[in-house]
Amino acid sequence: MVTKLKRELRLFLRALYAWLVKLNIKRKAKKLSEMTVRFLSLSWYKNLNEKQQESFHYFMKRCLAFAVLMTGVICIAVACMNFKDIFHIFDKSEYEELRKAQDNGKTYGYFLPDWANYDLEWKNGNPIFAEKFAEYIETAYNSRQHIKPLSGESTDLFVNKFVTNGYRFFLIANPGEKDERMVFNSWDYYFNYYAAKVEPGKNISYGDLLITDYLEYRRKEEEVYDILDAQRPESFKEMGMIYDQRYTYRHKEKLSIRYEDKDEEVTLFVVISGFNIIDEQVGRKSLVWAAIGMVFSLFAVTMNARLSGSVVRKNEKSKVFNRKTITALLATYLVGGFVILAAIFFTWYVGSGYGSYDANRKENTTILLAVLYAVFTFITTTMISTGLSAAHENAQLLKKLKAELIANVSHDIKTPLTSIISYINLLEKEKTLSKDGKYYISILKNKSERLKNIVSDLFELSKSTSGNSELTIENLDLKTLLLQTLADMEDIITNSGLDIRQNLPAAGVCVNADGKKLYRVFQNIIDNAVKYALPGAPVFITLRMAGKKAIVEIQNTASYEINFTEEDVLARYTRGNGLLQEDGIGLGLSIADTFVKECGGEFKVKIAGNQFKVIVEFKTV
Amino acid sequence: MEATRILVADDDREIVYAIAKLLENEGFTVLKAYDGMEALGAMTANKVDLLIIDIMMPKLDGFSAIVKIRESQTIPIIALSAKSEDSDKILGLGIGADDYVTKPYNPLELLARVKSLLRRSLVLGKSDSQSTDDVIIIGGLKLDKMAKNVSVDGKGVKLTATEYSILELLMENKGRVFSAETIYNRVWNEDAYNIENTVMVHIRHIREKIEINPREPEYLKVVWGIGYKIEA
Repeated sequence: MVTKLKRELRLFLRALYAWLVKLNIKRKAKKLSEMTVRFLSLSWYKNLNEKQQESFHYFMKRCLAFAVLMTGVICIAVACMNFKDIFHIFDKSEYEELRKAQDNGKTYGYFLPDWANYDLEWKNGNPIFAEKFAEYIETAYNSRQHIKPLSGESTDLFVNKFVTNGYRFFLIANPGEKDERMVFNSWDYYFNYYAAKVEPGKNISYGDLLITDYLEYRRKEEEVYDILDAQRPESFKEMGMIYDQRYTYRHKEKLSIRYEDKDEEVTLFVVISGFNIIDEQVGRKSLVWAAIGMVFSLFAVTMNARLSGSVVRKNEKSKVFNRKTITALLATYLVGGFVILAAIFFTWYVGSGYGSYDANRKENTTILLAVLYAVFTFITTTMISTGLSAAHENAQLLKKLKAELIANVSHDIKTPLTSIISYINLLEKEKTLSKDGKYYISILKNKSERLKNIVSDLFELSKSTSGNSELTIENLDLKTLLLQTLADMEDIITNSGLDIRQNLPAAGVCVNADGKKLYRVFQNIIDNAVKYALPGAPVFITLRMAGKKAIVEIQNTASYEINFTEEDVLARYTRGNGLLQEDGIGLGLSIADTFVKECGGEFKVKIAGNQFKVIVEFKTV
Repeated sequence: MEATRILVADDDREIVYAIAKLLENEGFTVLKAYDGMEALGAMTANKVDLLIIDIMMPKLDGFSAIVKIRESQTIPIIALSAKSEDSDKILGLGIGADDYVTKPYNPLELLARVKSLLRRSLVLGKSDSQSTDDVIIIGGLKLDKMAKNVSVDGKGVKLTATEYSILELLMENKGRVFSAETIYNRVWNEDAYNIENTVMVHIRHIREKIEINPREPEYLKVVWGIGYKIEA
């Protein structure tokens, strides 16, 4: 299930990426900038030469990247500002303060019901409401919280409010006038009228009537509760919204409450202040803003980074950056930055407090900080990308120079070598040569052949290390290739008299690689093994599968003392230190190493005692 | 019959001399040229049967010279160059050279290529593409099903029965890639079980017999990791 989801996600991301590439933002950006020129009919634009026009478009593209980045960061700032409304942390200390007040006989008492003695679940210093919510309401209801009748001309017949762990409940009578009465039109009304009155030592005021006689108050309360008890509600089904994302639950349509010998129709509403709970809607909104912001900023930053690469090398197609890596890097950078920003905002907002509610004042600062962050990010990415592209340019140039040097040198060597080989051949045919002379010539012939091979190896190696060689990657069978190579080298193997033990799987092993190059790889490895294997000791050639990898191992017992390390073997090309007296390890293994890497495989050398082992790994198809 | 005339053009006098010696030992008449213009001049002044030309030469480079010569002549041309890039070979063969030999060359191989090209142009003439049902001709490779013999550039090649069967199968299906198993199935008429590299060794023997340089085969090509095919 999870893997399937992962796959779907990967497919989706790939499609998105393909779409983004197809959009060809850079060209679109240029068109946009050209359109701007036409639209504003900038007269001075025509006077610019081609290079200046190019730089103008470059500047415009940068501006566009900056604008998109700014939009993204502002979106994130909006998300942060939204986020402040998501919940109020009613923390343990607040709770304990209330409890203390109650224990001290201060009049918090009737706001904090008996059930508050129940253990609350705490998580990171905050009570968990969601799970216990229904239970709490029920208990609160049972434990007969104060309920006060209103008289006079107030539209509310009964208003009861009680503060429990962050919730605010109250009862409203006379549903004949519907819910509209519940709509508070301003925060001030809500705050001053209800919240501000919740103070120690004071009773709740309703209208002009202030009940100072506590017993009288309790008596009336009892009356109502008796009736309420008889009609215990099942659940809070309907949910309405009052005053900007503060919720009210309608407890039950109608309750009959007997008050002053009259039956009153009463509706119980439970109002949950937006401070106190996690407001999913606000949370969702906040997340959407954040997501949009992230997409914009990431897009802008990637585009900004890539702009440098395109300007320096105009028409020449070259991968300045590895897109995936750079995008991942920038994403981490952005996310990190945003997390820090969000943490700053959040601390502010939470710190700004429940009562004072001066968080709004911080909004300007939020925007300012966001803008600063955007500017900073823009400058950093521009600098990073410009630097990277310059470094890339230099590296390319060096590589090219090196490859050219070797190509030229080997060409220069080849011409005189041609003459040497040709004349040795002619000399060989001379009939007047002495026996010694013939022997000398056979040595010359041998060595000139070797020189020829070394030059061509060197040439090939420099070509592929500089990334100038062409690859034909195709699906091929590694087992067949090994067998073909062995058959091809049959004469060398037979002449050496070595025992080659093959351990190949019955079925073929398919990999993606360049067949010709891979042939050279195994030819070189086997050649090397044959050259340096101890006569009589077998050479093992193994092909096996390990998970998704095909592993070829060629192991031989060295006929000499191995006095070099695994690194030395492959560093040969760069270091040029002769490892063995006469022939050396040769360029063969270096070539094999380079070719395997070119085809996307792994090449390793392992030395244990006098055992010399070469391991080639490829991903199977 | 008068001696076959070969024109050797290279700006390196020693190389020209060495090639001339090599060819004269075999009884050819050799004309020499040391740059592209000179080569063109020699071509118009004399009747030349084969041209060996270096690519990098002063005044007129080998490629341009080949293009000029091909405007009027169809003689075999061997391009000789220190440039060993595939792209150079493809370019050289594309503009009209019949063969491309890289420096430093093996003198014996060069000689074999010269002889092969001459045989094809002088002895075989224009019979190159006359494949019939019984005779298959691919390039200089000719297989006669009735006589059960094979020749390369008109020169007979001795093959064993198995080798002949394999070659016949491959030549009948020019360009198609056969895996070792398929070849075994078709030639031995047995299931290919645990055949290891039997077929591959046979193929190598065939290559040694029909190719001038078995390391760089012209006809019987290995598709590494897949199988074998015949290509012209």
